[in-house]
Amino acid sequence: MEERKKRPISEMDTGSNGLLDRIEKAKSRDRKEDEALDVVISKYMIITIGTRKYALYAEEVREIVGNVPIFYVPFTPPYIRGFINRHGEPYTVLDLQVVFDRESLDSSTFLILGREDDQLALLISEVIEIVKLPDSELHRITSTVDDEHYFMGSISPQEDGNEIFVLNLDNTLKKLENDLAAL
Amino acid sequence: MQHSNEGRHDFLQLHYDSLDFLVDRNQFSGSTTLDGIYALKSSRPYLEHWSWYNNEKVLLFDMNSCLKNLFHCGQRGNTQLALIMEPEDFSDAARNFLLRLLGRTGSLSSRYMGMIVSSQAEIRTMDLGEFNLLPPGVAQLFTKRGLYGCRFPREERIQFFVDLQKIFFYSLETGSRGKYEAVAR
Repeated sequence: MEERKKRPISEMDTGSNGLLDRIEKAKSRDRKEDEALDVVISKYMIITIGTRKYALYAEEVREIVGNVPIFYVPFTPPYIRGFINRHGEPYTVLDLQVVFDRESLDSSTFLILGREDDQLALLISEVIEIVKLPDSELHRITSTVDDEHYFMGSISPQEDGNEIFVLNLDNTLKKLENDLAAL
Repeated sequence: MQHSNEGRHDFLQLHYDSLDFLVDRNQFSGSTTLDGIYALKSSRPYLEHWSWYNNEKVLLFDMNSCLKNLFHCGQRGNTQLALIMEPEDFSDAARNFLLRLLGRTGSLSSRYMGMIVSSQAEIRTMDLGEFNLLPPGVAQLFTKRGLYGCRFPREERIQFFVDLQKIFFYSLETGSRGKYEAVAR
């Protein structure tokens, strides 16, 4: 009788190895299909600020933090609520509810933005979910109304079909920057 | 006298309820306890009193109230002292501005002025590397008004590095209330 070779424990089939192969194959198939259709997929973070839902590109967010104190600073418009301490560095806290609705938001949840040009945190109520959508599902704003400064367009990723505005952070921050420069 | 060596520097640390202010030790030449303060005949916000120092009548700026109003912070205790500054050390524009102001108040000293601050204070030598510059988007706005940087000694406490001369002149120029100081939050 042929003696069976002992395999190292690390090489033993646990039953999950096959599953891993299938996941990799599925990923590869999805990628190929997307490439074939030339589909660009974007990941959106759906959040609430007060009672309203907004979306922003998930890649713009570095971290979600809660329950840290805001340190008030003077000389600024009310949409700058102060600084928070992230790993010993000050981050400017922006309250977009003041910008949109002229009412300050009562919350202690922040999105730390991953910007190279500034240290910014958005004050939000909560993070709802992260969704992936093809770019074709972003309904871009084409009007010349003032809102186009703050929003890229809208998406409707949820079953209720309601439109959610996608924040245009670059434009919003530029507008606020111009506002501050005039002070 | 310079109060600095290598990467370290002397600061006056003023303690308030939820935060501290750090002031460059070179910004003032001395300090005195306020044994007697007297009302000015005509006053402006935070400029309401004078006191004696080196046998001269010295104008007092109430930096304590100014900082508390600006930064919305409470104070520990009531005792106050005056930091003595010499207008001779100010920039030309600042000195001329102050001398014009003193000229209108009569017999006050042009060699000294005092800034009333909390007596909950201590001199500390600090490592400059422990300071953070302010976020780029707001740094210029704050620097112009005398707020240069900050540090976080603990999670729930902040220390602001402030320039008392700039805050003083900003308060005088804006009538003590800049555009956004009057906004209720």
